[in-house]
Amino acid sequence: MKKVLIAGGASGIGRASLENFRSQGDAVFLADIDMPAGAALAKATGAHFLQADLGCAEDPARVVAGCLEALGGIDTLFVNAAVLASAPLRDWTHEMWERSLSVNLSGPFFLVQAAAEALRRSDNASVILTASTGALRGHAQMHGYHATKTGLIGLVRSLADELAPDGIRVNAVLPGFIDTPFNAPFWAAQANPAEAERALAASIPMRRQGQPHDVAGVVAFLASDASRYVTGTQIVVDGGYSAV
Amino acid sequence: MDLLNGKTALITGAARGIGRAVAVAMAQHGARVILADVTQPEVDDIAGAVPIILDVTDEDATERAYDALAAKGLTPDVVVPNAGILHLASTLDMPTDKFAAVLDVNLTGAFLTARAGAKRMTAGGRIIFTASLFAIRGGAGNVAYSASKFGVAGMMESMAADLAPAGIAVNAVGPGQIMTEMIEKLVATRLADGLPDPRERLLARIPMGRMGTPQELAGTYVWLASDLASYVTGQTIIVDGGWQVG
Repeated sequence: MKKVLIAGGASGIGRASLENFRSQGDAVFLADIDMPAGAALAKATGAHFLQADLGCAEDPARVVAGCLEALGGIDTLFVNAAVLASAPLRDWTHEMWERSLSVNLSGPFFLVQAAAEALRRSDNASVILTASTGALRGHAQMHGYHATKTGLIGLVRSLADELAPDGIRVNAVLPGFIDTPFNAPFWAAQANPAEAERALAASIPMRRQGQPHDVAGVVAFLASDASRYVTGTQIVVDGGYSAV
Repeated sequence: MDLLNGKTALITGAARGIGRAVAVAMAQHGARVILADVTQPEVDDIAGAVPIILDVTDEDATERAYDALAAKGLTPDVVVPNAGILHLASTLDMPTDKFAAVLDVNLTGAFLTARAGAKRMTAGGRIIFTASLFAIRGGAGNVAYSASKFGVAGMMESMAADLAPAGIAVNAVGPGQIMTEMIEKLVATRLADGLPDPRERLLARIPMGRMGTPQELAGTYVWLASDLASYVTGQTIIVDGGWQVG
């Protein structure tokens, strides 16, 4: 039984992973900005919950402290929270840009920093950061998203190098187009969302968008004994979208 | 330990090293495994395993092997074209026939095994190639091996696009420095020749500070063959203890 801290899991990919961990009997501590959804999910699945905003400087340490109090340790740290802002270049404000950086990049970094000491005590410590195939491609208007998701790839490499001697593995999962509410701003930015969604599916070799559980399977692997020699790498789960 | 119940898996290059470890792990997860190699693989310790002799560079023999398996009710839904050879030589010293032989086994052989398997997958399936760190980086002495493994990586991505509509996912595992018998022999030869132990230089740049084992690698093949990897295709999964970041 693992002790799992999930940051960002009241819906979508994080939720599917939480449910998967719980179905294996793992103990889960969930931190999410969405109080009603997070609390309801925790109640329904027997997870612990703390409302938190990764973009706030003090919250990563508060989340780790809460997790240690509830679970007594951390084996898996899954950082999945992110924001997706979309606007034409001229409309990007400092505030929007800083919000993308603080939630998508600073939050994961300081969570790992806060959790490192507890992770060192685990016999199979695994840090999993949700990046995106957005780290490999670009879309108009999504400047903050692409910059931060690409930044996470570099962060994974430096963290993997520093933490490997302590037995802590650090990897990124890069979901492609996954059918979750998170992508709503992306679709809203398209001229004809329904047509764009059909065209997208046709351009994916597997001919469909992914489902949250498709990504949960990758997270499960990276948290498990089966990936004990896997660190510093990125696993794309996109139905072949970025391979062609 | 039951991720592959009901699956049938064919692994080439399965007599030793990574191939054998993959066969053992897949069998432990409930798969019926077929071990293929140029010499008869030992299977007494693997439940229900079927050994076959196969030269992967022989197209006719490959087709016949699949047909013979089908006659026994064994049609693989997981194919692991893993057979590989290594010939290390600096560019100016590389014999042409050795260069061709490496490509013939590692690239063309993998293609023939995969294509023959895909043709017979009527209800979808998985193809899992063995790539290498030398499929993403070069290295002195690796001119032939690296050419073959870069080839495998490119072939894998194209094959993923070709076969996805048929429900066949195609991926590769990229092992880093894994302690196999192939490497043990290499180390022994160098030490006998009075050369320094190559592992010292290797270990210095692996963040985990150690080589991997075939058993540690096998988990990634099992995962790629399982339902957990349902939306993963066209990928090379690197298993290297952090070597590529160092």
